[in-house]
Amino acid sequence: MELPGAIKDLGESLIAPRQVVKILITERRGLTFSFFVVLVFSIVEGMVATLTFIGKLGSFIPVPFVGGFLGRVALFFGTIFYVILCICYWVLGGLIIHLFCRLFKGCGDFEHTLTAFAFLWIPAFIIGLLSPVILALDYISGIGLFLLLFFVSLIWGLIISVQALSEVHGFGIGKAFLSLIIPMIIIFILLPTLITLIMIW
Amino acid sequence: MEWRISLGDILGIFVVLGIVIGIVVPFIGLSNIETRASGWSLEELLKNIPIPFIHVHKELVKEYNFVVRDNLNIVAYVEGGGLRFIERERGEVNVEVYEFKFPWIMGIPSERYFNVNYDEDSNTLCIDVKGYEIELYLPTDLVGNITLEVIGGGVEVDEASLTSLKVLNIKARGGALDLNLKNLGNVESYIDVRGGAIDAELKYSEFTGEALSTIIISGGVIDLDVSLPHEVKVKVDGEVSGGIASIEVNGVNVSGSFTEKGYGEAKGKLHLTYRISGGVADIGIHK
Repeated sequence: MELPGAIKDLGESLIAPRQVVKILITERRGLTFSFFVVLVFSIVEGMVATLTFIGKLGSFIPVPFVGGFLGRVALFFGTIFYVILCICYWVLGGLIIHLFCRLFKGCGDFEHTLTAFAFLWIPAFIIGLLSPVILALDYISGIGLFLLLFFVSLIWGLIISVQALSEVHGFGIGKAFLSLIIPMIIIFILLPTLITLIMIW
Repeated sequence: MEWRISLGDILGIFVVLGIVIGIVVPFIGLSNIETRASGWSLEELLKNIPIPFIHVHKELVKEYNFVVRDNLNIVAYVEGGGLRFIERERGEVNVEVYEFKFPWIMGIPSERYFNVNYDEDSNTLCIDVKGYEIELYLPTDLVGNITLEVIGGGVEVDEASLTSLKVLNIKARGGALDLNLKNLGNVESYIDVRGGAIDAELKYSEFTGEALSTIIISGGVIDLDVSLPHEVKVKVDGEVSGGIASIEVNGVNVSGSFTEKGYGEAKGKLHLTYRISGGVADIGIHK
């Protein structure tokens, strides 16, 4: 007797991403699996993040009804906003990553790049697992623990995503790392800096 | 049947658990979030948010004492800062004006003022405030009329026994009002909300005649809880053309008009008229 395939894939992808990505591509379910992963884990991250950063602030508003009301509104819109942001980042970031992979003579398809890139979200399960602790803590400590878990899951995600990317494009870890990290730098550092400079100018 | 469990399986179970807990717990956490601050006071508010190295304290700037008569009119205009009504035994009215002292990192100068004035001829106490906290100690049973206009900041009336109140006029354009009024009689109330938030609890005592209550909401949020003695009958009229509204009488949702049985013959009546064209309203009347 074995666990359902999807649960097994999720678990295996945390320790053996190369094998899992190979199976997903061979069985032609890479895109479905990766979309499911991005959607579900962005919901988890979005909900916990919104409640940690904004929802808890509602409790400091002295009017009881407004406090609870703001929390609900923040949870709803914050999660939707975060999910949309993650899906856009997955597709657009995946496109830039794919261009860099091609630049490094990678042989995988865009679909394969998206599948490998989605592995970045899987370790976010630790945020979900420890969400009761995050929400039980006071405001500042809750934010601190959330950021720590987010950082850990990001590093873990980077490690498995780089391995998966290296497998699907048939190049070394170094090239896979550069293909993944350069678009991240572009999106998170260069692009905001450029926009800010344009706005100032 | 044999179970073959690998490390991947165990991790898979943890991942699924993480998904389930991560979605369920925020919902539970949200319903358990309670308002921690007891009032609108900025000092209390900041005390609840543990920001390191920031200590805010308030300092008495000015104090007024007025000898007022019965049927006192209070007219307050709150543009920012706060106004707090505090009940005291019979005697004179005491007004204390406080200034908040922020640490240097928060010391951004902003426009602020206060104006406290009592007109003996009309028996009217006028208060205008922005950026200060005003604490108003008064024998609430002397108060006949209250007119509040709130643009920003906050107003708190906590457990005030307003036995002589005849007119309550509230206009909210922003900020927050936390009102807890008790022992109300035949009061004519007018609440106009275009912004901000009102959390009000109005507790009526037995009275004779028809108390009129008008609620107009075109923005903002109101959570109004009206408590009536069993003998007082209620009639509700109104329309909702926008926003989100819930109007309940004794826990039953009322849409449009509602007249309680025996309203015409009752000695004490409350006639509530509402017009909601925006914002969020949660109005509950119960006995």
